[in-house]
Amino acid sequence: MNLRLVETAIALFLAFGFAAIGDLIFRRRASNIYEWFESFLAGVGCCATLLFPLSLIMRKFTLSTLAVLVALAAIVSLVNLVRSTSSRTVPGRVIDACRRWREDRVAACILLVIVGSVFAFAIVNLRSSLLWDGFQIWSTKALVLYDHGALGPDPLRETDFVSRSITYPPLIPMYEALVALFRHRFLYEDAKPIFLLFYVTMLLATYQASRSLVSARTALVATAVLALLPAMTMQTNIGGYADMPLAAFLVAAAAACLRSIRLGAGWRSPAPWLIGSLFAVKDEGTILAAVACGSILVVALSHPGVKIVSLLRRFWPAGFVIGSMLAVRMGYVRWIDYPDPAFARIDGAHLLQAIARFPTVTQACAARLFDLSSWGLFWPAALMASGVLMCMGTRVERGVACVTLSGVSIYSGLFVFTNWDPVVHIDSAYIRLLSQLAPVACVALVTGYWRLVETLAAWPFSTKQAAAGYGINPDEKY
Amino acid sequence: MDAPRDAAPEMDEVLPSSTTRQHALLTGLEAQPRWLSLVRLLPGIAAIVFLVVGLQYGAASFLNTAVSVFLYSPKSSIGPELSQYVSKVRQTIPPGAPILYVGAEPEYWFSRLWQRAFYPNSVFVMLGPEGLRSPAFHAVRTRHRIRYAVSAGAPPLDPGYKWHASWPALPATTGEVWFGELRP
Repeated sequence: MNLRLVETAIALFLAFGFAAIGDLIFRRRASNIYEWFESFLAGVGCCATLLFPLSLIMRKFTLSTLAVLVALAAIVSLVNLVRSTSSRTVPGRVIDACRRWREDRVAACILLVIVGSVFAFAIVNLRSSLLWDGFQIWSTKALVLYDHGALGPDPLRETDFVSRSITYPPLIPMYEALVALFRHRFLYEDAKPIFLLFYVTMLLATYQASRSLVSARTALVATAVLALLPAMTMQTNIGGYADMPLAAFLVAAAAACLRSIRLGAGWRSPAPWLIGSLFAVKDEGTILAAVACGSILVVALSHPGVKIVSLLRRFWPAGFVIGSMLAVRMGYVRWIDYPDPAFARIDGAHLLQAIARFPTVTQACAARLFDLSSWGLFWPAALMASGVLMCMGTRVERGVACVTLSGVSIYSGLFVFTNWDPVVHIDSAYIRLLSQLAPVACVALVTGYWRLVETLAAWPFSTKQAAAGYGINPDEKY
Repeated sequence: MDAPRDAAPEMDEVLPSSTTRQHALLTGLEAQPRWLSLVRLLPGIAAIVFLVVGLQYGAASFLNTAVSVFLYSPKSSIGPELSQYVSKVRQTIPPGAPILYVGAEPEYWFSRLWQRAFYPNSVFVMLGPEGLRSPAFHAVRTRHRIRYAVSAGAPPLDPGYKWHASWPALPATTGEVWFGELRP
């Protein structure tokens, strides 16, 4: 088995560069491993967004210029890391962390399960060749980008070489092309190591998002549940698809939004950059960004006394960041001017067809939601937990549930407009679409579970609450 | 708290009054209906069922995927056999010359594999006997002056070879691979 050590080192080196760019945007130096991965996501998202405008200006020198900038950022970042390591603060922090895990044996066991999943993913990802979309779409786009040095029309348009995927966003192809550039060759499987970085980021972000709402141990359970889902750690995610990276961006955006509630959100906070980066990963990122922004608005407006005007005044810089990244994405789609073959235009005739397809699509989607081999009982549980949160949760918890429920609804509804046979399209794509929402759904699952436990424990009232209401100490011996 | 006026005098005589009231209250509250206790157990039972089902199906799925990857997955998308055929073809054709790929059956994997293996040469794909009979076949051949073709299948289709070489089929396919020059 080829361990691809050189390619892994290159992917990691580039990740340091992207993280340094992210730190520059946030005007901070990442103080823990999660902040580093958060900066990595923001940096790679920002570079992917800038790829199109740079391609217009610098043409075939775009990729090499980007490579130089990222490499310089990586060198600066690594020099700073070596300096901070030599000051003995990092080993001290590691020792403290190990001591904490040793004291909580249950949490340590859960962490071992998660680490085991990471190893399993790493090994199977390296061993597996690219699967369908990973080869025909993402790596092929990376090949063209590597060869031409910039985004552009299909160089072999008459053979439909990449025409069908020419409008697809460039983040994964960009990262793969940069790995090839540093490797001085393009081999399709060389860039597989980058997916391990996104996988680890997805798990860390799930923990971070859960931790804002539940205890550390419960957040670990959420992460372990996600890591043990076959659809997340195996299946198409080992084949070079972009769904798992998109899931990482979405849950990282959720974690950033949950942190922003306490720390405040300016334009330099991670949340808008991570939401805006969704546009650069996959086409569905536009839908997920709309779902995220919609949920944020719902949560914010449900606060008594909050008005839209005051929200706009406070959040317009963050909105400007998201809007700019969306504008770049729409600009590219307009510039490349290639029709989407997958979905029909929404007009009268297609609406009637969509309505007629509703029962078939509902049945096919339900079959996939209950696919035990891919998900176990995950989706039924996550959807019920989201329902619990909508009824009993706090405003923020309802926001998380809103993302889950609206994401599943919109993705399910899309298939009524497909140009393919709906059942065939659902069979080939629905599980991957669900995998994009799974990390956020995990957060909703554990939060909903604890909300239900607490509500049932307090209903009609617990012994302790009643005793406290009468001014009696129920633990006092009598 | 003041003693209730209707406190049982015999209890007041046996125990101090505040302790009596605490005991009576806590005992009364703890005597909640059994169904409430069962309802409170439901989330825990659901969590156990969730974990058991997940572990059962998840472990099987993990193992199946890992075994199939290690036993059957090629080490790279463009394997050594295909790379060898591509280099043999490149030794024959002029640099940058377009190629016709003819697949015996309609499919979307192997045809695109050949297309990507030959990059940056243009590879025009025709699939099935219908592809060879279609007007597009002659139009593409004429417009792009295609002189060479690769066909694959069991058996491969003949797009009008002047001569052709026969090679073994690629792994996971049947039949043969033909490469040759087309009649004008």
